[in-house]
Amino acid sequence: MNQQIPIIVEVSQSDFDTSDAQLMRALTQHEVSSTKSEPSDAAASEIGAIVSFIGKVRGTENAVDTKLMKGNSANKWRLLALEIEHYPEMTESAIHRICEQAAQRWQLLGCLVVHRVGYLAVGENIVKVLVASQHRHDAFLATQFIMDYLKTDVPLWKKAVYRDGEHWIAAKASDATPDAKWRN
Amino acid sequence: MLMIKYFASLREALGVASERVAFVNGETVEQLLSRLVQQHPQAELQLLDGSVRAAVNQQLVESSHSLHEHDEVAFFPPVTGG
Repeated sequence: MNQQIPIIVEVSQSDFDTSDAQLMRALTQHEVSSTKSEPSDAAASEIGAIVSFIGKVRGTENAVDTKLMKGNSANKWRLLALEIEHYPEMTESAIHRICEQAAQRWQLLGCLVVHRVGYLAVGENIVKVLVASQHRHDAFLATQFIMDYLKTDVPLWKKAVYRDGEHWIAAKASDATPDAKWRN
Repeated sequence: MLMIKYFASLREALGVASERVAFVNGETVEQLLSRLVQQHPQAELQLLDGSVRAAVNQQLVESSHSLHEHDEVAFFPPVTGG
């Protein structure tokens, strides 16, 4: 599947709209520019499924943080926020490449990824992935694929911020090798 | 000259976010890393940790990648986005 589909990638300090409106707009515009026809709902009518994933800042961290909590009150080490650093010149293109790879593997109609950076308090949104396809199977798999590679191939780093300290979050071994999972 | 950039824990260990270093003809990413260790001995542990990843001109590369004049080379710890 090599045809061009709308791919929208944003890296943003501010929160995002969780609806599919932005993706639907892009799909409609794409249809207009590729067929030179009047705007219509034709693009939208091809879509049979949109999978939406939202990643949020969880109030409890695992592994590293559990160790830190020993001997301290749980309150002292309660996560306040994540501070997300990135490589501004590279982040969007790295995400874009992952979406293109997904569009080559599955029959997708459109793909949107927004990743936030900066100081994100517990409960805030971090990332949104929206994938549109004719059938749900492709959209579900592509969404998981994109999330897996967001964790290994995009220059983003999370620092955990507590009331009395902070530390960089270590990469999880379980996230390290998505290639094996997606080999076929 | 090469433009070197460091991110996250590596940036903090080195105490600099970016620097310019002379270009050495034929040098690989791995050889550049050894040269940077000599300039930043206090961050040897972090730089030679084995998990450090490199991007040249905003593309992830292997340590055997050969460098060219004016390349932008970024070094960083394993990423933790998503």
